Amino acid sequence: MPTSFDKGGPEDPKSGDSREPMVEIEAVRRSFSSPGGGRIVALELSRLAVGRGEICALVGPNGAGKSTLLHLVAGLLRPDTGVIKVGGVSLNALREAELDRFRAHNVGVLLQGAQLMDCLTAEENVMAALHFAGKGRSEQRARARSLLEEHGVAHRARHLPSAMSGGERQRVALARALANRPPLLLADEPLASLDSEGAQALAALFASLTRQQGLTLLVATHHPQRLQPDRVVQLRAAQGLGSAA
Amino acid sequence: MTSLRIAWRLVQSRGLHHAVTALVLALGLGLMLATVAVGDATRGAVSALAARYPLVAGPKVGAVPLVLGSLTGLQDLEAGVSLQAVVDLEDDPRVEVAVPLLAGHAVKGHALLATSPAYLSPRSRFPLSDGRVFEANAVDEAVLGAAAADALGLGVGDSVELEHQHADAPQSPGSLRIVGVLAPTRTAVDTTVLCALEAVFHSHGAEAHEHEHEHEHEHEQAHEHDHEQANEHDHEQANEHTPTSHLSPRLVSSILIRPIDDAALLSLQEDLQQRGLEVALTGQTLRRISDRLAGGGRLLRLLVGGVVLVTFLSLLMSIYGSSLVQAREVAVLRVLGARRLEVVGIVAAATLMVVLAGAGGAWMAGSVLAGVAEGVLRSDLGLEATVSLLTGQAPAYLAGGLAVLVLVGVQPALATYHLQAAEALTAPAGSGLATRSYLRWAMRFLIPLAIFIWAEQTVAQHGVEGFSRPLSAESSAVFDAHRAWTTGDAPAALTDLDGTRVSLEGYMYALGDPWEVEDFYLVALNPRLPRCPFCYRAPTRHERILVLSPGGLHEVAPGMVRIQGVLTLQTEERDQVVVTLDTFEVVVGE
Repeated sequence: MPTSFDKGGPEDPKSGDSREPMVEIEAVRRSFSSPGGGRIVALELSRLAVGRGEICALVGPNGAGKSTLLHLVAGLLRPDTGVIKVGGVSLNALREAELDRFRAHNVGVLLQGAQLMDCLTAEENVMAALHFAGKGRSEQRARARSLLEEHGVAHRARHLPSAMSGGERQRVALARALANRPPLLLADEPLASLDSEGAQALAALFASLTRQQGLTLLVATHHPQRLQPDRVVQLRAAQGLGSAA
Repeated sequence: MTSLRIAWRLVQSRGLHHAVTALVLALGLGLMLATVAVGDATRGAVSALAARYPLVAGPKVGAVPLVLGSLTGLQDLEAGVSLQAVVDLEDDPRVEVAVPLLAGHAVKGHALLATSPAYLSPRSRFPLSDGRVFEANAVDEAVLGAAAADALGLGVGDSVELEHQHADAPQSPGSLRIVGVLAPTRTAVDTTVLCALEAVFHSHGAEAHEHEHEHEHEHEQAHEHDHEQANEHDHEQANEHTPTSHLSPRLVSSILIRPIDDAALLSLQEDLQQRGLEVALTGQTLRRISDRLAGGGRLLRLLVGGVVLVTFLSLLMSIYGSSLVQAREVAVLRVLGARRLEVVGIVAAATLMVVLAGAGGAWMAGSVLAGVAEGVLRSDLGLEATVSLLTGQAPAYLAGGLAVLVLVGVQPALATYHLQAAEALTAPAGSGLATRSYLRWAMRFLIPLAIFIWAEQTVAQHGVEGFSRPLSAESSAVFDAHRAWTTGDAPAALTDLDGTRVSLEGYMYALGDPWEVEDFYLVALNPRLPRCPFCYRAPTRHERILVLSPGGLHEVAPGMVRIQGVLTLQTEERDQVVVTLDTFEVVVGE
């Protein structure tokens, strides 16, 4: 079972289409059953390749399929048709348990609105991600403290999410998403709950992570200009046919 | 961080909600356990008491007052039975033990019970904590109940003055020397002073002595008299001394009798009734009282059923509420890389923590209720019941209740197994995703449960061919020869049995209240259908039930019953056999 792949590195400079793709999507279609009967097509994407260390912004109106695309790449959904590869590993070929393990090790997910576990402290939220990747308790604690320190929320380690500000929750969520050093980070509207200063700081952090650590970033956002992406992918509503812009 | 810790945090995060759920579980389940345990203990105490003294004879006051007055001290009994009847019973070969009781006197505000030393024999339910039992003919010895000794501040070697019931009594009745003190029993005997019959007779003075001489003379000649003469004399004596007269020293209040066997019991009952005495079957009478007051009360059963239902619904609502909250958290766990089974384990562990807390609370609540009930049974009903949640049917009910709760509690975990994380993350608030998910698993659980209860009820009420059928002397039953046969030996050639005498072995399942039984079920065990503790009362090996049969009145233990009769078989089709049980008798034991 493939649980990891060559994560590349910071020495791998961005070089546009010549870079080895981290994410490859071919002729993907995903639909959902409609409450009134029939099915609604949420996403149709002919082709998309995101290179290692690239920041790719997904833009489009609500219902265009941005979140659906992120969930497909995260392996939380399976496509009706088409192929999705992450780091050269075809997600279609993985069984569900393998997919879960693959996600735990290789894909960080920053959900819309942070989505921390309300019953866990900041430190425990990060430790939970490490737990599902099979890390021991001492390693969990050390790594969680290091990450919270790195993201400036160490003073909130023992606090529940309800006691934190929106920006702090977002930084804890980012620490959790990066806990297992994934080569791919998926972020759904990461700037939505932040003020302009916080958004700027997060954008700088993303840029740093991609350039220094070779992290690949696929972001669904309504404000691509704030993130200074390498590429913007415009998704259209309804039939949602994707195209590079 | 471990999965168990995440589960604990899930419980902690909604602490008040889960605490209330556990409390409701504890009270509901605890009440059910206590009710079952009290019912068991009551039946056990009644059986033990009935086994010690199966018969009670006394004046014509009715069976219930006679038994209550004689065995529990809850009813005042006035003297109305000739001492000669006691003497006759003591000499009767059908009697193992006959214990006379004479109540109605007092010592410093404590009831005085005159009896024979056999009442406090080593096999007695009233062990001594100090000293010895009074001698059979001692006129000045007494034994104190534990509470009476404390209240009077007396011990072995001290003396206590007797009191007359009537202010116009001719002389001082004398004093009694304490020779023993009983251990506490938490029954009415604790507050009682016990002495020999002679002590009370002696205290009644000259007139009593005259009677005593007469009776001594009677006693000497008793064996020369035929029964008829003795009976006439007893009746005359009983009429001469009205129960309210203090000048009736040679009368006793009642006699506790232990016959040597069941046959002796029946003939003694008949003989004593012919002598004009009230004769009560102890077990039958006590069961009639206790079943209506304690575990057997239909109203109580209905109330407990209602509480259990409310508990069950509360649990469902609690789980429903938790499911709504947990849908998002389960989805987040999946995003973090948790596998479905890991998430199921976490949610199941969280629910089980609440259920187990409820079960622990139920055990404590049940124990407290059982303790209270035990005190009431002892002090108010005079039954030496030991109400325990560790014996009888209570552990089975706890296990059954826990199994149902765990089954219900694990359902949300199973529901999360099918939860689509992406769907839960993107579903807008109020979209009804969690509700739909909940209803899906609820229906998956409730429909089989409804079918199960329906099947149980059908079997219990009507019987199923080849499974169980009501049998009686007048009825016949149809069995499917290819399915489970209720006799121990499935007949290979049924027609060979036609008209022969056969034995049907099985459990007796009483219909209705024990003393109203005129019919019974022969229940065969079907391993394919587990018994539901809430649907009908399964027969137990420990329970004594009463069966009216052509041979007379029998108390039988269900696990020891064999029904013998003549079967008439009629084969109409290859796989159907009509069985008619023409006559039958109940055989106790092997």
